[in-house]
Amino acid sequence: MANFNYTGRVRIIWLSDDGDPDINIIVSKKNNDFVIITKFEDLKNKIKNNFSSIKEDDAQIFLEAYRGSFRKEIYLGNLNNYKTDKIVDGEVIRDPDISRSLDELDADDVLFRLVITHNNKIVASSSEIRPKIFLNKISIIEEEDKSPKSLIGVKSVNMDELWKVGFDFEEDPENGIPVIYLNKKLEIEKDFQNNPKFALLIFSNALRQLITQSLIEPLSNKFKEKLLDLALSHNEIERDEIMENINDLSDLYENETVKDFVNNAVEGVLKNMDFINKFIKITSEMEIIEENDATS
Amino acid sequence: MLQVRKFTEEGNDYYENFVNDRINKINKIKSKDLIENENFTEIVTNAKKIDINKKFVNAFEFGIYLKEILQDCETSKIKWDRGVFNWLALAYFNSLFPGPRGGKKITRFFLSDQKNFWRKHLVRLRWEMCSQFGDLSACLFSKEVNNWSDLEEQVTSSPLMISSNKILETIAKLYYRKINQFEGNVIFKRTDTTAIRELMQELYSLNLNFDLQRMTVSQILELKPIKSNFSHWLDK
Repeated sequence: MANFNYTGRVRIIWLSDDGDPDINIIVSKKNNDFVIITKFEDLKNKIKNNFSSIKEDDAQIFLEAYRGSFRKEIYLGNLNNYKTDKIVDGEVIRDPDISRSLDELDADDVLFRLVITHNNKIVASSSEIRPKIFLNKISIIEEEDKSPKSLIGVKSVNMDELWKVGFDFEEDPENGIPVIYLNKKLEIEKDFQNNPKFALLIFSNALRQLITQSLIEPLSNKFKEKLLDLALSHNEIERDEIMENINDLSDLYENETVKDFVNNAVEGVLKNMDFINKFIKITSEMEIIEENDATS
Repeated sequence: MLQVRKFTEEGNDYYENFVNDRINKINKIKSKDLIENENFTEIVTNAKKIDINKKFVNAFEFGIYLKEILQDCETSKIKWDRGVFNWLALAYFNSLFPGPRGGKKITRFFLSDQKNFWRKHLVRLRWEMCSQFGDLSACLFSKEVNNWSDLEEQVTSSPLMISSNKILETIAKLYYRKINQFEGNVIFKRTDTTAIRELMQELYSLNLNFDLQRMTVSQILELKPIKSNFSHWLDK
């Protein structure tokens, strides 16, 4: 239910259409901890616009992690001296002073809320944040690089197929998000997260299908638009030209220009993500871990 | 005394059939055929033994008992193991089923694989709340073991209320009067215009602008809408 905000409280944005939120939280299943990237300087400016007399030292920042009755409060300092992780040259630099273990909270269903308070009043707050969940550090960097993978959601559902893709329309076709649906009963999501080879196999095929579907109605969907922009960035062809080649649905699979367009896009995206090299790196790390486990 | 066990996935299916049978007044599957059946159950290591004939004065005593028998188990391992809580529901099925007004909703007795239903389960809910909040949860569970109270319904349906000991303490201070270790009285009636539902609505609104999670209970009680509309409960 929407709430009117008469108090000047700043809304901390964690989901944004332009890919530029105030806060980004990524949970690592492997370590049962999280990384938090927050634009506190931007938030500080917004807060000072609305509350001109606020003392930065007295504006306390709290991150709440919770699920059910389990709860953890993480103190992130004040607006003058705050704690956040950073991305520098594609590497996550973790602030050593952040207490980041999720303890009894489960990485795969924990929720977060960021609150900035001043004398018991909330001057800024987020809604319920659903973090991105990744298995390891490499994936976190991929996400923070704003790779195309973040355009696509993953959801476990009850179905007979092993996996499929779609735009999660719900009630609003204009805003259907591209989603890779995985078979819930067979717990494919675990394999997707833990087995890079399997993930690559599904992701590359899913990406191909989603780009292909982005060429057909409803074209007003903004996520299709984004996928199409992404595909165009790996092709030299113009949007109008590719559309002119689609007169019939069969053209999606038979027209050489369209086929090349999709192939170039998929290859380009995977190359940009350095998926194969990362796959090799992750796999070798996994093998080392397994060896250590076996010898311990 | 009986060693605590948990259902395997197949055991959960059988137990679901058992509950459905009871709801439909059929006694095809017997409790004793399931409870120690090694094909459908396995031992929960580190759990204490239970007395399945034990009677509880109320849901709070039941919750504290569950907390104690499972306290040496790793919380993260058992928390979402529905086999544990379904088995415990079977162990105390005669105390839990049916509800005092004949309630037979399956979600109260059988925990499905959908995580959201934990709040509705008479064993899982009491265990979690009593484990997390100890004595503070007494105000939620002052009714009989099989009784799903209004307070239980109201508080557990809200992520804000369920995870905050300050809120729980505020509720207890306003509406709960302790008699002894396990027993106490909830002093509002559903029909009161300043009962728990109204308090929840007020707290929800206040939570947007006030830092309820970190304010003291006295500070919460001093907030204008609470002080004007609810403080009269403090004198009762």
